[in-house]
Amino acid sequence: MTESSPLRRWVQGLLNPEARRHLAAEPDADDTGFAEGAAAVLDKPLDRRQALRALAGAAGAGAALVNAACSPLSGRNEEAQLRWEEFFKKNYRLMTDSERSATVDRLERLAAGEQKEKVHIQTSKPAAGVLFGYAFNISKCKGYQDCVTACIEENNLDRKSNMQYIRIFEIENGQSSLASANGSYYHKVPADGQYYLGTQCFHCENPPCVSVCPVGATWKEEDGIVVVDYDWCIGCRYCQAACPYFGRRFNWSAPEIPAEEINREQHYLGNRPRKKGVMEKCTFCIQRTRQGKQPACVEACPTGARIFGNLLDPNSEIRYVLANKKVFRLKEELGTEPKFWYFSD
Amino acid sequence: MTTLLRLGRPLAVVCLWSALLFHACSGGKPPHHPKVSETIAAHQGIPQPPDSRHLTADVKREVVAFVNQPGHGDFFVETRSDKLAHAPCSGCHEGAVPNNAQPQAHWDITLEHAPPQVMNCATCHDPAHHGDGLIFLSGTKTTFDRSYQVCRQCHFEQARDWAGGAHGKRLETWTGERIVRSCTGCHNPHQPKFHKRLPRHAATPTASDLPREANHPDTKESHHD
Repeated sequence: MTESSPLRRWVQGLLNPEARRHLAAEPDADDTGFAEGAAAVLDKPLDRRQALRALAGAAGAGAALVNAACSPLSGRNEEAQLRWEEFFKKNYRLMTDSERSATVDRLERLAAGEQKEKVHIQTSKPAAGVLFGYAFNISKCKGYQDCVTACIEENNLDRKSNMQYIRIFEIENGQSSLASANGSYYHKVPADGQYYLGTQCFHCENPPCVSVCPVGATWKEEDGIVVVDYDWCIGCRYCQAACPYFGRRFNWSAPEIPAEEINREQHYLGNRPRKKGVMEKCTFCIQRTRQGKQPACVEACPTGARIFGNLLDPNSEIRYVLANKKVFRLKEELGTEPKFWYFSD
Repeated sequence: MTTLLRLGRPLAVVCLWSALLFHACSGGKPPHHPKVSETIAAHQGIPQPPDSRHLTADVKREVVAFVNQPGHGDFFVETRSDKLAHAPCSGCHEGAVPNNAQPQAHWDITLEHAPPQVMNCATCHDPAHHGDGLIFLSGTKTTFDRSYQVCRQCHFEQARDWAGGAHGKRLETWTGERIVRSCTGCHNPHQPKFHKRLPRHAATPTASDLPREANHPDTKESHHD
């Protein structure tokens, strides 16, 4: 590669000004200045070329090189290397299958270091002919909130901030506005003269949260689940502002979950523990539903108010509800087309 | 010729900008906002859901059969007779045990279901063979596992929604074999109404106002047997 090759110039364009100065000054000298940062992280000297290639190489060559340069691995050194490689990985949607399994392997090894017990992170894909939908029976819900607890435990939600994806509103009979609803009741339920309505992410067919994301860190999967790539999210919270249903949550601090309560069966786009400064939300329990199980909230509901299924299967329960019950959705006039319907007996 | 050459670059720039401006102002296609109904219509086909047989393999079940209404054999009901501690009576007692026998050794039941003029023990239980199964209003016998047939005599609307999927509770999976709870899997037939209790969780906005134990109630009430 000569100094003036377009590829080299393009790579230089990716670098910070200091690194560019180094390159401009001594193109072919044994300059190790730039690699110092990498060496500090890796605890292993790299020359400039190696560091450069590792940097440009979110593409495989670089990662392979770092692998080669740093094995055998052990202890802190390994963790530092894993974190380094994690930092330069791609958006989940752009990863090949082998890149996905590589990042899952890294994440599992990092988690094992922290938690002393193995976690399993799925990368299961949407099934063909499946579009998930949800129905909520407002005459059956008694406000017990068993679903909320099940969701928190299943999805590794932050216990410190008492984060919850599901909100249950207590509404006076005869009222329909959520403005007059009580979202923070704590007394014996069902209270006389009240009914209960639960909200969560509605997995809209036209999700406004997805169109506003400036970095493509959130998208709608083929089976209709709106997901977040927690490692691509920059925490700008545009999506939180765009969602008309308050479906999204932000991690103001690093989530805290007692080690013994961590759900170790995880999905890359689902309940794997998040970090400080990223968005999260209900994923229809992607780690469960992609395996054929029901979401945790549906399973936990003691009154059968929650119905989940495949909208593309004409024999599913959800299709029976849509065909035989009077259903409505929240803020339908916005055209977001939530895949979450309310009905009553 | 030289003039043209000199003007070449600005001309190209102007042309480029005009093209861009034209493209921007010509509107393009409006964004397509599909309705869910359209998506369903466009993609409805043969679902290829994940294999879920292992999830339901251990659930004890029997095919749902409605009297006078064959053709409902496409889903299953979770059996309950294997979970009943004191049935059938013949497991211990040799002869018939009338349900007014004293002392009432195995049960302590208050009936809060319908007014006494409408319903008493003998509405669903054969007084002489009450531990062996249930009876219809006509006196015909059936099993504890087919309680849905007995309930359906009055609650036909609920039974219809239960068969369709709008009432009741499906077990384990959203796909594959459909196994549902029987009526008595969720409702105590003697006191079918759900009882009042404290919520399992206290929502975020008032969490700080509540006593600590209120956030994590350790009394894990579950639905009755």
